[in-house]
Amino acid sequence: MRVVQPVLRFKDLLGLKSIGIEYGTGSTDSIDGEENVIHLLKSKPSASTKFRYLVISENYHDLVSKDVDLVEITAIDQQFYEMLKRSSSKKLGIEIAVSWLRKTNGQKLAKNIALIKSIHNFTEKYGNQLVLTSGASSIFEMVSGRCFDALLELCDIKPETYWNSLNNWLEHKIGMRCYICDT
Amino acid sequence: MVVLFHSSPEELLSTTTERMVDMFGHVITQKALLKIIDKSGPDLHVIRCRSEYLGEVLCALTLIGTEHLAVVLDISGTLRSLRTRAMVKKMSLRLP
Repeated sequence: MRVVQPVLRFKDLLGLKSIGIEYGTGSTDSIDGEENVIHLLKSKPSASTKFRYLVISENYHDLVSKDVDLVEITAIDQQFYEMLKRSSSKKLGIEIAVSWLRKTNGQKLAKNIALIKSIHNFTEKYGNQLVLTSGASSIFEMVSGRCFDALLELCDIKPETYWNSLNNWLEHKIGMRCYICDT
Repeated sequence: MVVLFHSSPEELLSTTTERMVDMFGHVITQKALLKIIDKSGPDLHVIRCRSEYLGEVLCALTLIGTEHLAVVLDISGTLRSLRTRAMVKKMSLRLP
C-alpha cells in the first residue's frame, strides 16, 4: 500500500485489529512502532528489527524453506498437499487473498470456495494455518471484519474458531522473534 | 448497511444483484430484497436487505468484481443509528 496513514485510519473503521503491510511500499518509518501493524517482508532481515514482521512468499514451492512464514496460494495441485504435509512442523501460514477470489466467475469461485474449505481442513490436520487476506493494493479493496466472517461462513469455517487460531498462530510466529526496543 | 462505492446507487444495486445471482441464484437474490435506501455523500450508499440473507449479501458485496469495488463500512438493524454512524464515518474518511 502506497500511503500508509489513510490505511491505518480505515483499518479502525472496518473493525480490524491488526493489518499486514508490505514493507518498503510507502512511508513506513512512521509506523515502525505501531503495535497493530505487521510488516510483510520478501526475505528475512539479517539483523533484529524495531517492527514486527512476517516473511512472505508467492511461490508455494517455498513451503520447504525454513525462513518463510506465509505462502500465498493462487493455484494448487497434488504436489502442494504433499509439500504441506512435509512442512507441518513449521506451522506455516497458507494465504488466500480475496482480491484473487474477486477475479473469478461463479463456477470458478465455487471451486475456489471448496478449495479454501479443503485447505482449512488440511491445515488444521497438519498444524498449519489458513490466512484469509484482502490482498488489497488500495483502501477501496480492503475487507471489513464482518465481511471476512461472511466469507468464512460461506466456506463452512466457524469465524470464532478461525480468528482464535489465527491469533494464536500470529502470537507464535511474531512472539518467537527478537526485536529492538526504544528505551 | 453503509457501503463505500465509487459509482451511482443504481450501479451498486445492479452489480451486487448480478454477483449475487452468479453466486447464489435468482431465488436467494429475490428473497434477499436488496434495496437502495439513501445516499450519504457521493460515494457512501445505504442499502437494505433481509437479515436472513445478510451473509449472502455481504459475500456478494465483498466479491463484487475488480471493475467496481465496494467496501462495507457499517451494519445496523435500524436506519436511524446507521445514518448517524454514517455521518461519523464520512467525517473520519474526510469525504466531501
